Amino acid sequence: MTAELAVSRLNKTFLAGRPAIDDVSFVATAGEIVVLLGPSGCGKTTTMRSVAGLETPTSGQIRIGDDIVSDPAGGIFVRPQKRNVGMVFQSYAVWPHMTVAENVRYPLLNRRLPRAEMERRVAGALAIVSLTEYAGRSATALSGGQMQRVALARSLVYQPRLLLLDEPLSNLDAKLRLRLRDELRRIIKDAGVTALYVTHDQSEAVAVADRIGVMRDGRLIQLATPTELYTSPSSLFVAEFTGATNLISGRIIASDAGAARVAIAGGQELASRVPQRIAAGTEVTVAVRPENLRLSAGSAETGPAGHWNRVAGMVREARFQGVQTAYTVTSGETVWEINEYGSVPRHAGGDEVIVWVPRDGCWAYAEASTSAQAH
Amino acid sequence: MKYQMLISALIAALATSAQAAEFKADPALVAAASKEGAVTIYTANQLESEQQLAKRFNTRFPDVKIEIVRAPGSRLIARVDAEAASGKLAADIIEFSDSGLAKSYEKLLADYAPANAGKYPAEIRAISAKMWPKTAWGYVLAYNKALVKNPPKSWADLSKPDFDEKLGWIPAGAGGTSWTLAMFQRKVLGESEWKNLATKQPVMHPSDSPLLAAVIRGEVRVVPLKTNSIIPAMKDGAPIGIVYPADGVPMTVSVAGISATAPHPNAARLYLDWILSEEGQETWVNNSGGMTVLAGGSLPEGAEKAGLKLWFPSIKEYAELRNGWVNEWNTVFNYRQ
Amino acid sequence: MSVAASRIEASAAARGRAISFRPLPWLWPLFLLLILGVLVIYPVARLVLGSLTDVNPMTAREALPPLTLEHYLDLAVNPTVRAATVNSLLACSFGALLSVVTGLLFAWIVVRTNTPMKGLIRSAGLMPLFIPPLVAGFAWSLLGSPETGLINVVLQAMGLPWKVNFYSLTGITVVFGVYYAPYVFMFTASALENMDPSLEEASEVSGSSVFQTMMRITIPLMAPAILSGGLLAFVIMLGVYGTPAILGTPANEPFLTTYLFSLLSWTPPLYNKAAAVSMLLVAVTALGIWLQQRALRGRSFVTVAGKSFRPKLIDLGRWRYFTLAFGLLYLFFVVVLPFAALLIVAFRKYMFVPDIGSLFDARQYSLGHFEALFANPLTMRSIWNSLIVGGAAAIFGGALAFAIAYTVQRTSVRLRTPIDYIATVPVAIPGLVIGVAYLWAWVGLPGGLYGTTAILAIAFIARFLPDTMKALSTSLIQIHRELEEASWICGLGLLTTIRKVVVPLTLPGLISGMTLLFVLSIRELGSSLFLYTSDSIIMSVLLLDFWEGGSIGVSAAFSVFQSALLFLIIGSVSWLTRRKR
Repeated sequence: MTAELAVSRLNKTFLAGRPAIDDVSFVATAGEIVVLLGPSGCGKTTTMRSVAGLETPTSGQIRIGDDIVSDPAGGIFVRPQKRNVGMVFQSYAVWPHMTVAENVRYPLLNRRLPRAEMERRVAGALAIVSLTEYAGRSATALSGGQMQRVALARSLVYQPRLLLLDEPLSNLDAKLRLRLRDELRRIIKDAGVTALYVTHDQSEAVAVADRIGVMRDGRLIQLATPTELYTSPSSLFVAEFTGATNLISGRIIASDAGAARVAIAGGQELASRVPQRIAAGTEVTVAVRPENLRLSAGSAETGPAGHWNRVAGMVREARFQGVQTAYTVTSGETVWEINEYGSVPRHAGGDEVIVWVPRDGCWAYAEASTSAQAH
Repeated sequence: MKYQMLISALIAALATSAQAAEFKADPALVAAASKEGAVTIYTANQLESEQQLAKRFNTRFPDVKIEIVRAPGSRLIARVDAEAASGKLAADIIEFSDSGLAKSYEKLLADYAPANAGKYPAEIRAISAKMWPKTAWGYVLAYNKALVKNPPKSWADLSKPDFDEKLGWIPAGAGGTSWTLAMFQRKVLGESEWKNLATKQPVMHPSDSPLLAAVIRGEVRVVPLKTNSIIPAMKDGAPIGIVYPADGVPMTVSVAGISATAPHPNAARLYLDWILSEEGQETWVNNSGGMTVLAGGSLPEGAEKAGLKLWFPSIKEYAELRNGWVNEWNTVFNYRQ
Repeated sequence: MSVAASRIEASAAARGRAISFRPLPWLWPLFLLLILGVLVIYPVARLVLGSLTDVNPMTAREALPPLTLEHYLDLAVNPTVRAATVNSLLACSFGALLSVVTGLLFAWIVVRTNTPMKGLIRSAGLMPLFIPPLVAGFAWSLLGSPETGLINVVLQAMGLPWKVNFYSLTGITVVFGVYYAPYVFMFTASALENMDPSLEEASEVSGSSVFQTMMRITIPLMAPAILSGGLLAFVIMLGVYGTPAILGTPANEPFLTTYLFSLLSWTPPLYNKAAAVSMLLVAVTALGIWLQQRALRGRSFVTVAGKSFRPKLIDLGRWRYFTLAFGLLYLFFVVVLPFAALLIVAFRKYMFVPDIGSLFDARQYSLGHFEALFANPLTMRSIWNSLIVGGAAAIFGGALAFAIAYTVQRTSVRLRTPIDYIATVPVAIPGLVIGVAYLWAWVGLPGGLYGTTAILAIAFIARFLPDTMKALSTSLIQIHRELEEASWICGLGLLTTIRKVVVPLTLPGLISGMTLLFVLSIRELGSSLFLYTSDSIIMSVLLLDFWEGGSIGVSAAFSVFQSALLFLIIGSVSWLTRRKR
């Protein structure tokens, strides 16, 4: 039976200095997959290990289902053995001195089940991860992907109420990663278990998550569905981290609660969205995803339907990348990065083009980005 | 046996012992020795005993350093064998605690005789013309004064019931001196002496040191020990007493000679001369509690001149009987080593 | 690219990732073999020859005297040898078992848990290594002899009806077990420190208690370290003479080493028989090593992830006071009691202790033994010599062990396996016998080496090569190969890589290996007995001289001094290295 995970006002400080977890609160409803996403050192792994009971938080409460498993103020700390959570480690932690079946059977040894029932569950877990034929093989004779599946089977075999996954795919090669992340989500959903998943790779987060929590420097910046995260990033960091590589400095001309006009280099003007009203004259950075921009030939007058900014420029470089082509287009002093999907490049270096910039794809933040282009 | 006669001769000599005369050395020898500056002696004597001899020697002849290499008999022989075979014998003086074996090493030694050669018993000189009895050891009894109110007066006394399971002993095969003790018991006290002792179930210790420790601690009450083990401990205040058994004191004599290839022949001569002199032998007896076979030599503390029976094994028998009798001894005492 | 160059490249690629010395594939291993030949092969060969002939190898006239198996046959039928073998095997097997249990438990407590006062337990737990077996045997005879042992005196004073008797096979086994626990501790502690903690965390998360995790995961994964440590302890115990001599003789229990000693004490010494007995010991050791290889073959124990991490401490809760008590009890038993006994002997005028009141009577104590000790002209000389010989052995022995361990572990040069086996052989031969072998082998060495402190250093280097190599191998295994490869890619040669990458990374292991070598050299007796001279006399030989001369108080005082000195030196070394890190 799966449970809800509620983390409220969690804090963890190791030594004097910046806290590793800084006032983090979120709820994962029963059966939901929440992914903690962020760069290394942001506190995502520490948060997960606190939920597992492998780290002791300084303050704050962690509740799994109806049980409060951690509350320093109330003197409560339930040891990891008793929390009934499953965990897949980054290094898989598959025990080399046992076979696959022994690894998967291990958690059941303590749970006093009749022999037949144990074997049934082990077989079931191995079937879920498609490793049935490998049951008798030594754990060291497996590839990375297979080891990860053993770790997953082992963590599901005792039907925990919460599943924790610590960057489970980061040790695999790219192709395997792509294939396994969909499978991972399918397996977790089939098992119906609430999951907390940690990764630094945003495309992985998007593929696996029901909701994503972006973390930085110990704080939870934004918790939202993948769509929301991509279409309405709440801060420049989130926008940048999730892949909005176009960062253009500008100044607000006029703004209301949802949209604004921004003056950028070369006297150009961009219509953009804003997370909240920003005073006129404020320096802002506008973030735009390269895949949201469109290109057409330099003579085009009408763009796609909806609110689009029209920017004239020239293709400085066209980079063929297999499934897409990446273009660098200069317009005055501004440099635009555009990704066009499709294996046949439509433009070449030196072409005069129009860059169509969607208003709903532009987000202006009253922050300076270190990688922003100069005003 | 020739040695019974020796006993009587000694007793006669002891009855007329005079004060030790001071050692006089040939100045040319002293000069040559001082030039050489050092002497290396290979000996089985206890280190501190030998150091005491050296110290006394150096008060007379400060320019000659004594370098001592000490090892029990068999280890010493292993070294001498190996070094001699490679032509690297580093010793100036070699002392053999096993007089039976000593003869076979005669070829390594130079001709030598001390000035007072005549005062040494002829039988011992018969071992070899080149080797001389530098130190003698005698086995006597030690007992714990606090725990034993009626100390034994002889080896035979040990068969009294008082001493059931209260004795410590040393295995016959532990070394040359303990073999001498075992041989003495059987030859002088009788064939059944070993059996009698065995019924007392004495506790075995591998060498003199733990035996001494055991009797001082009171772990055992009476043990056989050499005089030069007991007397220094007594002087230190240990609560042990010494008994010179009336039925005989088995003696071991170790002989020393000068190596033919000695690097410091003159210093070696001087040192050996001094040790073999009355002065040297007095030092050994008085300072270290040892015994001497020098005619007119004194006795260690607690020994009464009259009635002291010193027993010397026949050299032939010492060598011939050893293997067989030690094995028998092991069987009688059920000693498995 | 020229044809020759491409051919070399192709063959290098074919040889795989190990280093190869293209121009000199034979020179380096041959050089190592030459050194090992002088240090190990030649002395052992003489020993083997001695066991098969009937003459003293030194005085034999023919180069190859007639061979005979009579000594081996004698051994087979001799009931004393049978009893001695049984005793030795029993005491050493159970002793090794006790060492493993104790050492492992301590390694776990010190490395993995939050037991308080771990630092004390760790450093004090190594102290038994400082005490030579003869002294340990003597200390325990003082404590545990049935009539007047100090433990019995105290028990009587407390009115308890119990009595201990260490003059027994059990007593010897217990003394063996607790004294060689530090060996197992060293091996297993470093294995524990390098284990990926997520292996244990996974077990905890899946519901196993701390104890179950230790039994099902931690210990099985440490099997190689446990087996290596246990085997080493077993083999070393086999060759110990002092403890069985003092504790076994009163109980009439023969051991192989005491039997050996009696052979060598015979006049004339029975070298050939002694050599045969040594071969018996070598055979038992070889069997042990083979068993260990069999048990570990084909299973992987890779636990080192190649990245650095902090080993996580297990919170034992209230149990940590229990483990603390255990640690303190061990220290009391193994360090405090014997040292107390030694101190008592060193300061007490003489060892007659009729009752407990006398034990605490201040009038019975004085500094007399220490005065006598330092008044002896040889004392200071022996201390100085020991420090020099120990230091030289540690440095050169450590370097040689490192070179061999590196060659065997990290390179693909020929002859690595034979080199490994040859370097391990000395561990099987008891000190008494190897001393004679060294004498025979090296007395004829040209250049006046014989009779100097240099030859003592050489003897110790050879004697302890296996111990040091094992210690260094463990550290070398932990260094991820890629760290070296990165250095080569950057263009640095092998020697520079060793100097700048491997050595700094293995430095903790290297230093503790050298420290071990230093400690062992200071207390080593058997192999130096035949090689020392008055000028080169070392502390262990002088101690034996005092002991055999009946100056028990002075021996105890010297032991106390030596232990204090070693403690000081080791303490400074570990303090210095801790600061470096």
